[in-house]
Amino acid sequence: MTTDDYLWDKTGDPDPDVVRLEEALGDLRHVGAPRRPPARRTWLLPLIAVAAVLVIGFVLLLQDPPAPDAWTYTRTDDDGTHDGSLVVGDWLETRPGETARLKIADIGHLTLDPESRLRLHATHQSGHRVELARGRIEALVAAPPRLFVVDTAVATAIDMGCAYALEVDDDGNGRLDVRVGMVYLERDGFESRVPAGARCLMRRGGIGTPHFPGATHVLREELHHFDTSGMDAPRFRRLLTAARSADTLTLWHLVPRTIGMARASVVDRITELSKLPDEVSRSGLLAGEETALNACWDALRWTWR
Amino acid sequence: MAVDAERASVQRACVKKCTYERPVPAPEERCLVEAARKGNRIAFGQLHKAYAPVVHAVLLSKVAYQDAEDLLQDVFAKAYEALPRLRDAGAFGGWLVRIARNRAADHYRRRRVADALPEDIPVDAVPAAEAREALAAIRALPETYRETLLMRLVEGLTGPEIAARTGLKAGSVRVNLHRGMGLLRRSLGLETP
Repeated sequence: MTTDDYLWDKTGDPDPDVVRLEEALGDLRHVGAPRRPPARRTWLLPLIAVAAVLVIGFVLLLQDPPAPDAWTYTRTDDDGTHDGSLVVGDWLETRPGETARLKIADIGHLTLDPESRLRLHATHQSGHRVELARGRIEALVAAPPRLFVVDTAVATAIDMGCAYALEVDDDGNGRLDVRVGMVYLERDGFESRVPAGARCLMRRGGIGTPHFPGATHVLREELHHFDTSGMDAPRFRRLLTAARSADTLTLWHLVPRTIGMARASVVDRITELSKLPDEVSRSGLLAGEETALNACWDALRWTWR
Repeated sequence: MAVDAERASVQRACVKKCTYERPVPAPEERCLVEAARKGNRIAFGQLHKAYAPVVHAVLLSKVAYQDAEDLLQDVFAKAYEALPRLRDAGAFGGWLVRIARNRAADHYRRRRVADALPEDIPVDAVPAAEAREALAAIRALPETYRETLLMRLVEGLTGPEIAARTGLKAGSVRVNLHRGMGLLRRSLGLETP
């Protein structure tokens, strides 16, 4: 056996150079499990009480392998840490000054902020779902898309492989901030796609339009008016004028939320701000066709960071 | 003695054949792909677990380190949607690698890779200097060797595993690893021949 065997199938005498490179590069490996959560640096995380819940059941298709019916967690407060187990159907509630960190089976973890309430509805290889009744969670998930779902009274947050913070208040209003990856918010067939760095508000009336927190005050103000009060032509024009290149995320979502001349003005503004490839059909966007919208999404999404 | 010699010769031929033939996907893997094609998320989850290192290595060969995980999820999301259109379950690995390469190429075209990291990248996600240097050296290698070396050195896959999951012939993978490592040694000034 030679050192070449070690490079080939890790048998034989270890090659010192290969071993050294393995050790140096190993930290870059995709481990398939969540790394330590990122240190809080620039995110502002105001607490808002309340949430509602929901959960989407995943359909178990071919197999029904045995799976644990509980998540382990660790509570932390001024007195120290206390371990526990959250069984399916049970609630976990944190007191003021207390947090709880839960393992989402083997796909990630979530942190429950103080004065929050959460119930585990299902945990299975085909899907995991919780109900956030009140408070705030931060989730970090490394798994195939759509395997982890959080329902609130207003919307369902579907994880597409990411890290995010979700909070809701007593009235069902809430906010989603995505740090890594993507989360889809869905309600009654209506969808908001929230990529890394973006935010989406939720309210009793429905899901808001995703935007970046760094958008101008004018855009955020006019967007809030659009989301809560509907179309007002002069205000909508102000919104479009205030949009910058990064705001094509918001504009993309406005395409299916507008009609006629308003939609045409949105498409025009997207085109002014971002050069779209030929495969993005303007007529398809004007018609609200899913193919055109998805092509436009694929073209725009990498310009948002 | 003559029979023993002939038997040994046949055995050597079988070993050579098994080593250097294009790997055939294990029956259970074909079943997973078929099940995932029909919408079985458990099966797709198992494929995700098996192939995530391969996809990650392909992405690392082309895009910034901090983008690779995001892109990886995007690749699997695309694969999940497109899986019903995959005609040959046995070609899943090579098909997935092509999706990963296309996504990486799209990403590279649309973005400039900045030298400075964005402020919101967590501190513990910044690779150490030695890792960055090694990664840069691998990325500077001919494309033929780049992905294979990353699968071996970063993701820890063995040569036979790389062959099985990419659809490449084992012999090709072995050559890529050997030649790629030779170039890498010279590039990094490593002394071992």
